[in-house]
Formats: sequence, C-alpha cells, structure tokens
Amino acid sequence: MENLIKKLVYAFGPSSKENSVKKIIKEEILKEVDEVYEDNFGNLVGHIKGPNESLMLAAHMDQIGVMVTNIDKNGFLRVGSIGGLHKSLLVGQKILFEGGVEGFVYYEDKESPWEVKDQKLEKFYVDIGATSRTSAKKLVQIGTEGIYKPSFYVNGTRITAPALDDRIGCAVAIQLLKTLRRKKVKYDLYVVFTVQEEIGIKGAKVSSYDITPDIGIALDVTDAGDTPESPAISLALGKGPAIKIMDAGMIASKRIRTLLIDTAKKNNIPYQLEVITGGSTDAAAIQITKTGVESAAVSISTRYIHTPGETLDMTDVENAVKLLKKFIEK
Amino acid sequence: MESIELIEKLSNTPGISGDERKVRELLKDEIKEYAEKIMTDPLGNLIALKGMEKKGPRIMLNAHMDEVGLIIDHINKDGFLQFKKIGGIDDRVLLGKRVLIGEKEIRGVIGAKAIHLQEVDERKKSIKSTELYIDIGAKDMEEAESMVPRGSFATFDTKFEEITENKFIGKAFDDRLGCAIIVDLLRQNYNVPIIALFSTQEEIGLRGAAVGAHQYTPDVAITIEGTISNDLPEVPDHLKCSKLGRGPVITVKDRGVITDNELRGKLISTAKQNKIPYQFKQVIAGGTDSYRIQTTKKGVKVLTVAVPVRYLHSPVSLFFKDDYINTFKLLNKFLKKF
Repeated sequence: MENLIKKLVYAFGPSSKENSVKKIIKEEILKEVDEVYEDNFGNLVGHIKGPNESLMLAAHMDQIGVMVTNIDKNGFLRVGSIGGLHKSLLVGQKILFEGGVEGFVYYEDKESPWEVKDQKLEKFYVDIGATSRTSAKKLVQIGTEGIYKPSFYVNGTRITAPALDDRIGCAVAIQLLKTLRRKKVKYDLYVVFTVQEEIGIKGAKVSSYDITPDIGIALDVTDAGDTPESPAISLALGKGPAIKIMDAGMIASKRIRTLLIDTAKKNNIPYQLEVITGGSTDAAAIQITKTGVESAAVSISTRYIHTPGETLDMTDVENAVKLLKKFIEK
Repeated sequence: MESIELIEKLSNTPGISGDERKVRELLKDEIKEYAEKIMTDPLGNLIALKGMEKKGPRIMLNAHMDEVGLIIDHINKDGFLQFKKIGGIDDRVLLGKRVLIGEKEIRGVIGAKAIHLQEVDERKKSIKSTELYIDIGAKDMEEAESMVPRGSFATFDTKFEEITENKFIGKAFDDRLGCAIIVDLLRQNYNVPIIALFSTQEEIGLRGAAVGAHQYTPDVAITIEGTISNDLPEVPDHLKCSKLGRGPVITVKDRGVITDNELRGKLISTAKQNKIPYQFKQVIAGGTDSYRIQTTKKGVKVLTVAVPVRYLHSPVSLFFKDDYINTFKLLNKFLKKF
C-alpha cells in the first residue's frame, strides 16, 4: 500500500487539474469494479452493482496549490492560492508547476530581508530562474497551477508527504476495492473520486446529484491534536480511523455513524470519534443533495494539514480499510 | 451607436438588489424581438430562450441585473432618512452624493456635519455610513414618510455620459455592461441553443443564480461581467487586476470558481485567431454567478469574461468603448464556433 500512496502523492493534481491522479486511480480500480466512468464534471466513479441501498464513498483527488497571476518584466511570478493555503508557511518552499518547472518562494521587503514581517501573499513571489518575462513565459503562463514539490518518506508507521489530503482517502478507497469480495458487497456501491473539493466541495455536490445515493461516506483527512500545545482536538495518530460526529460543515447521520461504531466494536478495530469545528469534507455536500442523504465520514488523523509536511500513521489507514470492508460486506 | 444607447438606458435605470423590476422591464423590451420565449421566475430572474430545438451544447449567457445601493431603514423625527448599504460599498464614497429614492425617484443628498463645525480630528476621519443620512428636504418625519416609504431603495443619481471620445462614465456598469452584451449577442444567430439568464440579487450573495440555472440547465455557462480595474498610479502591476483598453478580461480563477480549462483554451485561441486583444484577471478576487451555476444539478462548465471597469460599486464608474466592443466580438466569434 505504501507504494500506492507514494505514487498518488507524486501525482500532480491541484483543483481542476486532477487528470494525472485520475489516470493512476483508473488503472488501479479497473479490474475491481463492474464499471468505471468519468462524469461530465470530471469525477471518476467506480461502480459495483448491487441490489439494495446505494452507498456513495467519496475521496477527493485534488490538492491545494497556487496559481500564477502575474509575470513581471524580470521573470518573477506572483501567485494566488488554490484552496486553504497557509500563506505564512509558503516562503522558503519549493513549488512544482504544471509541466515540471520548479520555483522557490521568497518575499519582498526592503527593511527585513531575512524575516517575513508582512505575511501577505501579494508580497511573495516565485523565482523560477527566468531572466525575463519572455523567458518565464516559455515555462509558465498566467493561470498555470503549482503544488508543493512532492516528497514522501516513511519513519516506522508514520508517513510524511504533501497532498496526503486527500490522496490517503483515495488510497483507502482503492485498497478497499482491491480487498472487497465483490459477491459479498451488500450495497449498490459507488466509489467516487471527486474533483475540486478544496475550492468548495464541488465535485461531490454534482456527483451526488447524479447518483443520488441513499448513504454517503466521505474518506478524508482530519486534524490531529497530539502535537505540542496543539488546539484541543481529541484525535491522535495511531489510535484508529476517526468516525466523524461533527465538523464545520455537517453533523454525521446518527444511524450511519452508529453503524460504523458498532462495526468497529464487533470486529475489534480501533477507532476514535471525531469532533472538529474547522474544515469539512465531501460528505457535507452529499448530505444536502435533493431530498437529503444520510451521510457520515471516516477520517485519517493527520498533522500539519495543508502544509508540505502532512503526517499520518499507516495503522490508521489499514484499519480504515478494514472498517469499511466490514461495513460494506455481508 | 446602438450598443452605447442601450448601455446608457441600462446605466441610468435604478435596480438595487431585490428591486430589479425596472431593469427587467427594460431588458424584456429590448430582447422581445430576438428571443423565442421570455419568462420571469419566482426570484425575479429574467430567462430568455433562443433556438432550443437546435442540436449541440446548450449555452447559457448570464449577467446580473442588480446593482449595489442603499435601503431606507429609518426616518427620524426631523425628516432625515437613515439607510443601510446593499452590497459592497466603500463608506468613503457616500458623503456628498446625490441619490434617487424609491419608485418615484425622489431626489436626495447624503449629508453630514458641515466642515466649519468639525473639530480638527473629525476632519481626518472618514465618516461611517451609519453616521450619514439622506436629506430629501422634508420638514419633518410625516412629510418624509409621505414621500419615501420605509424600505425604499436608493440608487446613485448619476447620468451616463461620454467624458471624452469613446470613454464613458456612469453607474451600475457592474453588471449592466454584461446585460447589454447579452442583448447584443441575442441579436445574432448561432447553431446552438441559447439560454439567457439575467439574474437578480447577485451583489448580496449570488441569490438569483442559485436557482436561475435549475429549470433550463445548460452544458456551458458564460458569465459576463463588468470587472475590477485597479490600474491606478502607484499600484504595482501584479495588483492592478485588469487594465482599461487591454480588451476583455478572462478569469482563470476567482474566489468562486476555476473556469473550465478546456473551454478557456478555446476562448483564448478564438481571441488569437481573430486578433482580438484580451487579458487575464490578475488578482484572485471577487466571485460571480458562475459559482452558483457551476454546481447546478450534475454540473455545468463555466467561463467568465468581463469588460474592465474602474471604480466599481461607486457612484461613478468608467469604461472604454473599445473594451466593450472587443468583449462582444470575442464572445460572438466564440459562440459562432459551436
């Protein structure tokens, strides 16, 4: 599974440019489902046909990033954010732009050239080694998207990489499809790899309109509260997948979350309960589709979300796959 | 020129968010010859259909009818009107401006304490909108109430005019310029079904468009706007957003959407082929109806194209005719491609 995650986090996929991620996933799941299709909005759907209630699982393919907004006469770029970028962490980072160009983020300040005093994105620029506007334009255009330069390393059970939000949800979904015994699936199962989650939960919204499932479950990362002086969040790495009760966008269906909890208990799978007040996920949009969808979420506790150092524990990932497998199989 | 006369009429017509009737009536009249079906929905959106029997992708052309303005929420015993802002208005542009209030377009002026009576410190501060009032010359509350019922909307009293050759000033260019372009486009004939959505309440949360694409859901929606130009002295190039005279402004990303990558490419190649100047919106700011339209039902591919305008949301804005013409040309050529 480690190799799968590595492949996914190295794929270039800021919101609206998810094609590389989609290609990998499509190859991985092709043989595991009855049909694979892409909807008009760009979501990738794997479908295992079943007779009963329909269940939609959603994991988003896109990641946060930057977009070139201006190229000056000396070839320096200005960028805007795609999704919830922590601007104060941007200076000093390497950016990988679509097409393979790399850039380094620095800032303008005559008075304080070594310490960022003014944390405004408009004061930051990216140096891609261009010598003029013309030479820069051979490498990038206004509108070209960039991401934190991919990296991946493993220390014991811990994995650190940018874009684990939400390639880890994609990996859970893929691994689930690989381990599910298709004949035992008790739902009409749609596994949806969504687009444009980071810029307003868009893919999940239109996909759930299209599918109109009876139940929706999002697979995403969530904040961990186990770092020094971290905000009061009762989630920790390695203590099991988090079954969501509430986030800033939704309160999970009591029936579904109880079913998830019961499944975990019955099968001795460790789990944690998630209550967070910032951030949300695909399930928030699925829940309010048409006449309403019973929705829940299974999350992987992750440190430093939306930074290049997103860190999580592989045992939580493996247990999330187990939990979902037990939930879905007869 | 026909378009300019239309823009003049649209600019001079009051139509604050939630009170778009006069703009709607005007537009209805302008498009009745060209559209096959025209209807108004419960939120007041004006929807017009043309060539719906045609094959090919259904294309929505969208512009909002409403403009920012004021609403009268209190009349005090001396006959002065207090107000709240509707939509984003900089408090600093209000003082000393003329306004037209309510159905009868009663004239008023936004006043405050005379400079002679101000302390030195007061002169340095800008006055908050909540401390300003509108004076309609009424002698008391009773007289004021008989002229202006509470809940009346007020618009800036600005007359459209050409200040120098082919450069125009007026109010509500956001988004009457978009409305005018759609009227101009409806005059043409295309090979695809066209759905025109003149929406309401955009300035207070994209509310009309939240339902406007539901009944006739398009495959592609083009939102046409008057957009921010901040091409003023001392503004660094990367913060100018757009520049007057440089042609239509194509949005890659704003705060609501990333426009469809493939269609945007097609739009840009249309501009290049026809030697129409264009520019990109260079600051990720603002949001448009496309945010709502994009996620209607199973999803809609969206584009946003705009005429650059200086001093949006203020009593007087400014645009160049060339930018309007080039925006129309680009969209016309683009639509001909389908």
